[in-house]
Amino acid sequence: MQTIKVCDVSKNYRDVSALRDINLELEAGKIYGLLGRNGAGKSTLLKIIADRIKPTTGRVLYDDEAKLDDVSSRDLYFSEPEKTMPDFVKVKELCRYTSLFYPRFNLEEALQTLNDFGINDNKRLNQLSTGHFAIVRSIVALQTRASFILLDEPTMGHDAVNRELLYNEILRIYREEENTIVLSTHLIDEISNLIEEVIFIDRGRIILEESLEGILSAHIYLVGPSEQMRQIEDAHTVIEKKEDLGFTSLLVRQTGDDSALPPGITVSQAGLQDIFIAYSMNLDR
Amino acid sequence: MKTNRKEYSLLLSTVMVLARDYKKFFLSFFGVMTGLYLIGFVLTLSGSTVRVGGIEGVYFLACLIAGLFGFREDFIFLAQNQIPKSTMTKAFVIEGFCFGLLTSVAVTIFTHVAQLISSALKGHIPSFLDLIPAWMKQSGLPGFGLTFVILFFLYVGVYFIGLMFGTINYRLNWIGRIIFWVPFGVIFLNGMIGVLQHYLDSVAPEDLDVMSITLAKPFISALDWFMQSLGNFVIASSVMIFISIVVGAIVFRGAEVKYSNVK
Repeated sequence: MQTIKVCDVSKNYRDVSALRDINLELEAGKIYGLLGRNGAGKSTLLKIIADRIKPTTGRVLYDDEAKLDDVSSRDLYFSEPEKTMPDFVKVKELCRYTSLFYPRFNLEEALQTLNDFGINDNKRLNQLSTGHFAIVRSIVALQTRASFILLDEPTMGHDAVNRELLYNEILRIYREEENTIVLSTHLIDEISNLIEEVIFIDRGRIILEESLEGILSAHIYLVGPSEQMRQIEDAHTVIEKKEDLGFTSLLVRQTGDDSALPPGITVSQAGLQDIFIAYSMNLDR
Repeated sequence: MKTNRKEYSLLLSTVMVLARDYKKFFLSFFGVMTGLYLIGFVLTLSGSTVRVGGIEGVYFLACLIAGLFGFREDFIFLAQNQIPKSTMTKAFVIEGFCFGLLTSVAVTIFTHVAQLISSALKGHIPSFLDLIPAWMKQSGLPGFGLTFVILFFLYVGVYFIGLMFGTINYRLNWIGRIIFWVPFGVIFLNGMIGVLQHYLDSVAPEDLDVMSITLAKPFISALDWFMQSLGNFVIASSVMIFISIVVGAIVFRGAEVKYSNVK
């Protein structure tokens, strides 16, 4: 499978609109960061892509086909925090069953990786801590080596060391398979070294979809005396404005034809998390 | 890159995963059956008037429960592995027949061996198969074959009925479940009480002590017809299996994974 297209997808739960007119294309061989606040619609979007739930309107196309069949469904794996695996299955049994469905699954390597994380593969899933369960489901997902791997909150409950180990594992599998990995997480700064494409989602809408490089190069902080900043404010697309002690800080999106800045104004690079927060706060206002 | 040694078709893999607990099921089967028959033998040999038996009937309930309650977990786990619904449906059907076949073979063999031992001990251990009409009972290999056929259609039929109801129950929300299960439960219980009164206490259908005689009569008539001949029994069971599979498949077609935190 080469592409997954989400076309005009909306999802309503009674009176709650979880997703609104989502249009998105996931291409082969990229790591996407699906970022958003709690309840933004990230998990709902992934569930619809993985065909776990149906959209209220719109559709998802897999290589322009409306349905996953026996062959194309082997190209997709979605790991989610919800309970979708039998409680009494042992870790090694889970790996073995998944290996039956995904022919590229490397059983020995999966068990070895889990042991490296300190997980006893003889334990049943209901005996694992939240963090260990998240590791198991993430490693199993990565080992499927599917063309499209969707990881919803893969680091939930992990300590810092295990998060780092998992990020290394994600990169290793990505380098070996050159597949598409979608990471849905709150830990924006941590994954900014991994992802190539960013999808910001807020209140069921995609508010930004761009390459990481494009986003970081387009957004800058301008800081200077408030009086001077007022002169340049109209010439920029301001995402966020903060005023303090006679100084103003603007997070702006550069348009390419920005006029030269007057002296006394400093320019600094904005981080991905700052940009994300600014967009979210902007919507709040 | 090293991949798995054996590769199976997706359908076969799905059936294998559905059958993942067979080993545990059959170990517990032999444990419970052996334990019960040992108690039965001890009671018989000790000359006690107390009799313990009929455990084979439990596997009738086991098939119903396996179908009814196994569906949700299996469906969600298979959906987790992105198995298309058409493949899942085929796998459920194949696994249902395998489960019924293995259970009926195991129960038939065990029951016959146990009955042979109990006859040798000159004591009778009550059996679920005692409920089978006398005309169906034959000795030797034909008897073994007949018992197997009856149990096979019984267990497979009950398994698929359970699976169908499990699927219907899964698709319904809590209001739907109340609307579906309460009237169904009342009618079914009414019918079952009528059947038991009619068969065990020989009460005429017109004299049944049930909530509604009109609703109980079809159950008695249906059971009378099933019991008339092996042919009737096989036809009725086959029709029930077919209806359960078709209705279950139609209901299953639009199923989504249900999440506890989804409103």
